[in-house]
Amino acid sequence: MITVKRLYRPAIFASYGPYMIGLAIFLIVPPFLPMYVQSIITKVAVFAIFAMSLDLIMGYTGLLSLGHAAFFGVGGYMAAILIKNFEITNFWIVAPISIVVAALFAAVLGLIALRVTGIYFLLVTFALSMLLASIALKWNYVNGIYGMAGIMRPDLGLAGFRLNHIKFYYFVFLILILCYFLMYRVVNSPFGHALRGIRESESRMRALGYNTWLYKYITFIIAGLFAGVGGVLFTYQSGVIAPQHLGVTVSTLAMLICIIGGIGTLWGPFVGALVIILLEYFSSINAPERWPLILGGVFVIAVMFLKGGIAFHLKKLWNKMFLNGSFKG
Amino acid sequence: MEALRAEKLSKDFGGVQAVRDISFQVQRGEHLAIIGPNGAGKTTLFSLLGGQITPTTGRVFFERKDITALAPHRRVHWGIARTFQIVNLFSGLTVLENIMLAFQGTKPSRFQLMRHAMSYGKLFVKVEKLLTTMGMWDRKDEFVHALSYGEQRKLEIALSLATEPKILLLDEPSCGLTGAESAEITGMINNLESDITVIFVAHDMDLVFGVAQRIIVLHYGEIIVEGTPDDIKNNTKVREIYMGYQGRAKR
Repeated sequence: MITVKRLYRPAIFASYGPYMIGLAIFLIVPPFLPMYVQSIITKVAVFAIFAMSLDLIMGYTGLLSLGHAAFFGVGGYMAAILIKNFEITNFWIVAPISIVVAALFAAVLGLIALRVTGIYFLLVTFALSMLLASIALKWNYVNGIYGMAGIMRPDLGLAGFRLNHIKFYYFVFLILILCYFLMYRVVNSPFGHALRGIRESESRMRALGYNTWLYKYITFIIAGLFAGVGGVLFTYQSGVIAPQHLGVTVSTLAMLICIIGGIGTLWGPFVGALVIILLEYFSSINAPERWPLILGGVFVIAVMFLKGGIAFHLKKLWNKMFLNGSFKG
Repeated sequence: MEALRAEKLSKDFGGVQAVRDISFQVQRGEHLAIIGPNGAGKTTLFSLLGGQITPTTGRVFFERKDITALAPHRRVHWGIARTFQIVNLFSGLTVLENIMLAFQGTKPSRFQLMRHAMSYGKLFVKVEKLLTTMGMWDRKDEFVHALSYGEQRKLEIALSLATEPKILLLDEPSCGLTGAESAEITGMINNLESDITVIFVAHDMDLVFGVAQRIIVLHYGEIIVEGTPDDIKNNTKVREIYMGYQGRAKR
């Protein structure tokens, strides 16, 4: 029995297996897929970054936000404005500016939203994001209701190097891994542990010497920053950014991705994004007008039968498969 | 040396005066018990000392410095830690994570974003020491919601000890415990380092008389009597509050 264990379960595989398998699939398989599927998977990566950023405030800190799309949209809009209205094409200028602007918006809106807690926080974030959406809707500078379209894939400033479909996918996937790594470090740091403490009992955290407001505020900005990363990549990926991308539909989509994938795990939102975006794709082929119904149905099923999200059950399954399974995620 | 002083503290909740004109002081290392019937204002007084609520009038001094307006998390950095009457722990985290959080709360590393939380070796040694003295080291990987009530009570005290306090405010530390568990808490408080000041609220008289060097009796938000355990035991006013009017029974 013991020898079998040693042969088939090196500790490193028991602990990091899911990462290895996931990485292998998403690095090796895409080139062999049709082009439209490649762009779907690129969209999965984009929404994974966005949903992970929501997971920071929802899953780790326990703040339910219905306005997270505001920072996604602001990042996307800023990129579109720089590209279309200022004609700056270099990705290395466009992206950092847009991401910083998204984080600045988070810094300002966070000051307003974090004055309240619980359900009121949900409502205030909702109202603020709808406010931004309605501004975008009426503002001619950003083409009002039509949004800004015709944005090409990013120019990386390398002579003779253009991103085609598959290279753009790898580019986005690389950024996803980078974002995952950074957020993973954050949630496992003392700061990240403090966030989980706040989720469990904020009054106790204050009684232990933590300035809980400051923690929530900093996290709100960090989450806004990563949502901005998602927004910029979304603008490049879809070629268009419109007022509805600032609004509640995109916020709830991210929230559903987190809940179905599994909140408080970071890689859960990636699994959730994979499931939801693929479902959206299949429904757009077969029954486009039924998408909200399907999404609602999937959500109900996930809440009833997949408590804790897909990630939670995958983790349990993995750790059950291997006796010394120690995958934490 | 004076550790904590309350000066004419009052707190109104709407029309109700929960705490009325309370003044007292505690010396460093002293064990002070605050007792009184339900609704006497003990927990309110505690929250005033801990900073969870601000007084309507009056001031609080810590080592002769005015801390009346100081936020509760700042008071912890100054060395005032409190526990809660209703167990207030991080139930979704393990015992180890709970204690790590408590230790980190007063260290600059609490804002560290990139280093792994479990990589602080020096803290880890302290955690091990504290949990071993509490007799909970072998339970360190247990989730808090899986602990027994008595263990949760112990952890509640362990968390406040982990902030390395000068003053420990214990709100009903033995509430809901069996006699044996309560005796364990009594021993634990008596074994604290001698320069830690302890102020505690309790209904459990074994704990009060086993730990306190001085007792304050509250009734309807006011201090009725203050004195040594023996004074309190023999005080007729206190007996009246707790047992009713004995004079009438005698007649």
